[in-house]
Amino acid sequence: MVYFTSEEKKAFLFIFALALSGLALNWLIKSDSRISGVVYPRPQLARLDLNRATLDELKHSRCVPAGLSVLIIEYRDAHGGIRRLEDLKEVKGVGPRRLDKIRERFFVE
Amino acid sequence: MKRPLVYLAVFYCLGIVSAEFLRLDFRLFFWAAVMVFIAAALLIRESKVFFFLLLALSLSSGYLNLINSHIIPGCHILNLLEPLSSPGCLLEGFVSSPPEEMGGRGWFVFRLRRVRAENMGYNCCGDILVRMNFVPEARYGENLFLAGNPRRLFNFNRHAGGYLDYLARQDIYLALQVKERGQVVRRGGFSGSKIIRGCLNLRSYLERRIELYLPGLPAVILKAMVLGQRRNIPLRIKDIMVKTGTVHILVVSGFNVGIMVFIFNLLFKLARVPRRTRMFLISFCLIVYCMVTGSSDPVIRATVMGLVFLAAYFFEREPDIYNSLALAAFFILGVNPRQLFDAGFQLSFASVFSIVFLYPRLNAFICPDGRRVNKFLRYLIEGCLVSFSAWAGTLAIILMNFRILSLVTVLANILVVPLAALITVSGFIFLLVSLVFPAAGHVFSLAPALLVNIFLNINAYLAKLPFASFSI
Repeated sequence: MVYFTSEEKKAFLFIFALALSGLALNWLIKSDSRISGVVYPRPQLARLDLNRATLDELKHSRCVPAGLSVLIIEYRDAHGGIRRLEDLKEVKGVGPRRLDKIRERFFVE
Repeated sequence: MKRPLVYLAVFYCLGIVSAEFLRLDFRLFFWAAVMVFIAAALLIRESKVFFFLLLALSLSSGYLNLINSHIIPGCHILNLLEPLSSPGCLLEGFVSSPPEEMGGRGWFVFRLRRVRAENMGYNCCGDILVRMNFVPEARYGENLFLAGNPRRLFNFNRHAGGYLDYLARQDIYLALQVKERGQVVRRGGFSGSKIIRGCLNLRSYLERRIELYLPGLPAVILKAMVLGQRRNIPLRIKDIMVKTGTVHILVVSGFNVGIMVFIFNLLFKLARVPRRTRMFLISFCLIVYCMVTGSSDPVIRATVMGLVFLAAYFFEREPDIYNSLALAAFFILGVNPRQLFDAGFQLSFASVFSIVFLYPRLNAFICPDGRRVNKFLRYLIEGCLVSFSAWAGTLAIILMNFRILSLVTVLANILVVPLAALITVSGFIFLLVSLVFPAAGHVFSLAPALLVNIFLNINAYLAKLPFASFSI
C-alpha cells in the first residue's frame, strides 16, 4: 500500500488542482472562440468625406492640384462646410470634368 | 512509497482509453472530478482512501484531457469550409514545422492566422498540411501567403490507424496542394519559437558539415542516427532494416541521448567542471539536443528520463527508472493525450519497459550469481537477453500495426546495436571536432563512414537469410 507524507499529499492535490483548472479554462476558451471577420472594401469604394478631408489629403488625392486644394479648403471654411458636391462649381478652377474626378474620390454627408 | 507515479500514470492512461470509447460530456465529468478532488482534500488524513481518490483524480484528468483534445475550437479553419472553396482564396500564416523533402517534393505544416476570400478576411486558427510539387524554400517560422483551396482529408477512422489518423492526432484535417512557386508569397519576418528556430538552424549547419566530409549514403545514414534527419534515406535501405528489425537504429531515441550524455559528461569531467555545474550543463545540452533532433516522442521520453536521473544525482537521491518512465509518459500525454494511440509512442515505452522489467528476470534465470561464466560469453548472453526482452515487449505492437514478424531481430540487434553505438559516438566526435577544428573534420569523418558501410552490409546479408521475416 502507498504511504504519502503530508507534504506529498498537498503537492499532489495542488498539481491536480492546476491540471483540472487548466483543462476547464482550455475548454472554455475553445467553446467561446469564434471566427471574427474583417471586411476588405474594394479600393474604388474607399471615398473620403470632403468636409473632413485635410489639405494634405486633398493634395494627395491626384484629382485636385495643390492650388485648387487651398481654394476648396478656404471655400469650405467660409461657408461652414459643403452641403453638396455641386456647390464646388462656385470655386474658381472647378469645372464639370474636375467635379467628376472629385466625385470619384470624395463625398459629402 | 517507491513508485507512486507508475500507478498514477497507469490510471491516467486508463482515463484516456475510456474517454476514447465512452465520450461522455466534458462538463458532467469535470464536476464529478471536482467532487472527487474535494473529497480527497477533506479526507487527506486517511491514507488508503486518499490514495484511491488520487487514482480516481488521475483517471478523470486523463479522461478530461482526451475529451478536451477532441474539441475543435470555434475559430478553427474547419468552420470556414465554404469561403475556402471560393476561387482566389489566400491563406496567411507561418511555417510551423521544419519543411521536409523527398524525391523532389516537399511538405510542411502551416499554422493559419487569417484567410482571405472574396472581399472578406477571417481571423482563424488551425494547422494545415501543405504539399508542394517542388522542394520548399521556406524555413521554420517564416510568414507566408499561400494561394489555393485547401481540401478536407478523408477516411478518418480512429480505429483503423494509418497516416490520416496520425495527422488527425496532430489536429491536421486539411491539406493544400501547391503546384507552382507563384502560389507562395513571402510576407517577411518570422513567427513561432525563436529557440526552436535557432536549434533547427544549428541542425542545418551540422547537416552541411556531415555532407561536406562524408560521401552520399553514409552521410544520409549518419544524419538520421545523430541528428534525426531521415530525409533521402533510400527505400530499399529502410525496407531491409524493417525486415531485420533494426529500423529503430535510424530513429533518434534514448540510445542516442544516453551516448550524448556520456560524451558530454566525459568532456566536462576532463575540463574539471564541478559536479553540480556539470549536471546543469548536461541538462541544458540534453534539452538543446532534443530540440535539434525534432522533439519526437522517443527523444522527449529519453530527455525527460535523463533529466530525472540527472536531478537525482544533483540532489543525491536514488533515481527510479519506473518513476522516470511514468513521468515521461505524463509529460507527453499531458500535452497530447492522443499520442497514447500512436505506434511510435507505444513502441518507445513498451521497449524500455520490457527491457527494464524482463531483462533482470531473464538474466537471473539464465545466469544466476553462483554460476561462473566466461566474460565474453556473458556479454553475448546479456546482449541476447536485452534484444530478446525488447523484441518480446514490442512484438504485439509491431504485428498489429505493421503486420511483419522478424525472426532475425535478436541476432541482427546483437551485431548491429554495438556497431550503431560506435557510429553514433564517432559521429558525435566528428561533429564536435569539425565545429571547433574544421580542418581536422576530414580525418574524423573516415571512421563513421567506414562503420556505416559495415553496418549496411551486415544488414543486407541478414535480410537475405532464409525465413528472416514474414508479412502477415
